[in-house]
Amino acid sequence: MRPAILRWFPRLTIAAFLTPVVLGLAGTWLPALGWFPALDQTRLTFAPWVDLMAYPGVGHALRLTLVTGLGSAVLALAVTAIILVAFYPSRPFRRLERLLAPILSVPHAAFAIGIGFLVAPSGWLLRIIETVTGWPSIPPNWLTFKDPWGFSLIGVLALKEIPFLLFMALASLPALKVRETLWLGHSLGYGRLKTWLMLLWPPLYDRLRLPFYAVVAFALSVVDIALIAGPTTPPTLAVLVTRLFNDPDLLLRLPGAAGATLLLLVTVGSLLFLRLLEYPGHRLLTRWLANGRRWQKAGSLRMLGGLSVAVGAIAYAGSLCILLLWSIADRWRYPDALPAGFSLRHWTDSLDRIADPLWLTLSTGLTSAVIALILVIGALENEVRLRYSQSRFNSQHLLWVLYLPLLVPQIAFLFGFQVSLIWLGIDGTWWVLVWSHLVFVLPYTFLTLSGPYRAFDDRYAWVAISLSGSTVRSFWQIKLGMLWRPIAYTLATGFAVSVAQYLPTLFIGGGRFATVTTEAVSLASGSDRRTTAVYALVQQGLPLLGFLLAILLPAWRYRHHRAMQHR
Amino acid sequence: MYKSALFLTATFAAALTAGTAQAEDRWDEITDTAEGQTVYFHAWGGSDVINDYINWAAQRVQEEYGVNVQHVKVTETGNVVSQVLSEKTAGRDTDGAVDLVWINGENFAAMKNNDLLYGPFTQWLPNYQWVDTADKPTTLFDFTTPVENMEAPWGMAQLVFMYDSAEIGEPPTSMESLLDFARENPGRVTYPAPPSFYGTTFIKQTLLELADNRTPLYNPVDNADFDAVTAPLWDYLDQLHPLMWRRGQTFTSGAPEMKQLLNDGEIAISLSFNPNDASNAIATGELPETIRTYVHDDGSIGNTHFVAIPYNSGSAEGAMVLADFLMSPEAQARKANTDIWGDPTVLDVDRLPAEDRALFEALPQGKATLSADELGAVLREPHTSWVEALERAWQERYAN
Repeated sequence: MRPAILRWFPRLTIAAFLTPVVLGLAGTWLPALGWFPALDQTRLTFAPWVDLMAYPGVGHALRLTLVTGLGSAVLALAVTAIILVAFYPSRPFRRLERLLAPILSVPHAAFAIGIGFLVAPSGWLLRIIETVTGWPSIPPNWLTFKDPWGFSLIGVLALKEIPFLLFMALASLPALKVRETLWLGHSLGYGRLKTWLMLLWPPLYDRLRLPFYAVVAFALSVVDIALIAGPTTPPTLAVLVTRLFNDPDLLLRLPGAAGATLLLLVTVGSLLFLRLLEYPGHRLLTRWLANGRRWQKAGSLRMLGGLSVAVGAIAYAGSLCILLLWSIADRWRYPDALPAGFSLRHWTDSLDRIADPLWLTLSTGLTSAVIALILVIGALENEVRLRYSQSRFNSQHLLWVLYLPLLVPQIAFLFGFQVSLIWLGIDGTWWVLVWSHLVFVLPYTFLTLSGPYRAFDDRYAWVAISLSGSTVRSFWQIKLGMLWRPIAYTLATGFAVSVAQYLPTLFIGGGRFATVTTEAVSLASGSDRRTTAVYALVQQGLPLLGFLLAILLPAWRYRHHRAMQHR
Repeated sequence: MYKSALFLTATFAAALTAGTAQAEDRWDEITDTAEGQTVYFHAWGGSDVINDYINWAAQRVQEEYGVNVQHVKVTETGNVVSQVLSEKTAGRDTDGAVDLVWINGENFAAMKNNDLLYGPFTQWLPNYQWVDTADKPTTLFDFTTPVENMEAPWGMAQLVFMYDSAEIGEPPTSMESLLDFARENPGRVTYPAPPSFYGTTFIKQTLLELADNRTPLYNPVDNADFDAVTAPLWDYLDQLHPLMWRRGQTFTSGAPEMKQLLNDGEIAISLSFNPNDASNAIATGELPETIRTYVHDDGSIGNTHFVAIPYNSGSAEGAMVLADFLMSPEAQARKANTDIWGDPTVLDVDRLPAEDRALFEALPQGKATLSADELGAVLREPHTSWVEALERAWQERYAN
């Protein structure tokens, strides 16, 4: 590709994706400081902050946010580490690896609803017990879900995040030569745990840091899962802020904006705290490294890892089964373990209505995934160019900015972004919808593709150039040709991220764009679990189809290339 | 004297006919302009039953007037108000994203007070004449806020309770007996947490039943001794909460979640704003055949829900055409059918022409539907200002 064009890729990418965040933050900070002309508020003041602090439950909600957000993220990281140390690399792990993509495509809300129906006192687990033992005849009054301390929220969030962290870890692990390192450790008499912790975890954490921070930010600011699985009196800060933004008393939007800003500050503070925590952590590891103990036995670790995988498997398989059952249920009451009657009515009824949203979801998802892919390949190719030229200014270093949308809570900038778009007169258009999705699709595209792309052996490209005399042909036919598998996978990931977007679709589209996800969320606010289940399954099926294609298409492409088939 | 009286009567009659004629002319103008417009109707999308009904109305309006209706399915009306507010902030004073919104109570008051509404329009709509403004005063006063023709009545709501007649013989028909019921059946009673409007309504119902004197509740909250008036309420809730579902340590989000819990057998009593909710839920298989509806002896809070046009709608005429169709005897009778939706009508059925009246008389009686007699007295909503004050006080006590 032509180097001159490439130079613009990172800059263009950054400009396109920094703008919404900056515009959005400004649009939130102004009302947080009392400026809201549409409500005749035109004096800059700290009153919204005072009002926020005086609002009942804010302090408690903030504590809950910190406990559930940090608790779930740290738990997810710890369990990820335990599973890796216990099982990687091994044959069962390869099987687990293949299951990760479909697991990642499970929509958050659907998963939380499924878990709720699994563990509630009238849930599936107790129904099965009742069917077998005849006890309890009425659901017991247990706090197994939506507990005021946030345990169920921590559990659901951690279960949702562990697969993501595992997925990101698996992308980096091949470069760390795990098997060789473990052999080396073993030959010196060190146990698996010690070698992993001392030699493999530090470089792995280095690569996992950004995804982990994204998990932290997500867990601190999540709204949909917290509404379903979180405490209610008070709820977490993100839910409370959303409520202030929707309150019929329009002036509460000012403390709401202050609350959104507070959430951003809490996120930044938490990330800084975690970054600083790395130093004492590192010192501790160094002390253990030199203590001479070899930790040859790690049996309980395997058990813990196995237990985590089992809990995860039950949670995901269970919630999927429940959704499938509800979608074909007619009537289903406690204590029946299975619906009293079955009916396909809810599928046939819904499929009529879902055609338009389905089409919009597909077109928006594919377009944003392809655009993100082109921008990311451009930026990564520019990296290759920089490697071979002596450039003073390396725009590549700015690319971390791409991750900003993953670290900034959505409610802290979407409201402001909406106002800016209306002001520019470009709200409600399909391209702006694609743009808003790109803000979130792009970072994930970059996360997924950068590893394999950077690992590509340039010598293939050099050989191709020397044989064909064309950099263009070398790039298209050899480099991209050999990278089909990660590219297909990246497209599927980007598509899945776009499908999942709820708030951006709602805010940017002014409600004019109905996707499968917006339909699913609005139906979930109702009482009919059967229709909710149908939409959740459709919402889940789309990304799954994408991942399936991402496996099948490269396999078909490489059917005549034996060396490419098993990679 | 006689002459002048005659003259006055004549002028008055002429003015009346002229007024009607003017309204007719205006209506013709409206329908002409409306043709070809696209109306974005923002309405709660959580119920298939309601979504199907809106879809039907959209098709009928397309056939009859050539107006294209798009149902924007929202989860909360607050989001729609936010959208209009964002547009006002950004100076988008024409062709906003919202043309018609399903609304009532506090949200209406907020939009009205902040000049976010189109203005009076129902006086031009031909079907508005059939609205029962005499016996259904909430069609004129929405949570005590004067409607002043700025929203078109769409349906009637009344707080009712649901229970499983296979499990409970006599349901508790007052707040006091509800407390006794909770003592005998700990963990089987709950209500949604305010500021969910279901929860707030439950609180208001409790306060209305327990208050010694209801007069202060119908005046602005600032004029009342809030602590004294609400003392019986907090005393009651302090006793009820430990006996409730999850011992009051967590709450449901609203009536939809409570309906699920009733089906699951976790709770024994659920609530709804739609007196025909249970009948419809039985018809769709969401609830078992044995569910029945009841109200409290003192009467229960009733109100009207409406549709309103935002100030910056670009298809206001199309929105009026839709609002008028939604008030038509045809649409209202279909809506009142418990097999379809079961939302009570805002019209005065007795006043309708015979063939329109027949539509209502032919409606099936739902299994769990109460007769007008059984529904009993409608308690008026307290003054709007009480909502925010009660919600805040509740959160300070129980969610702080």
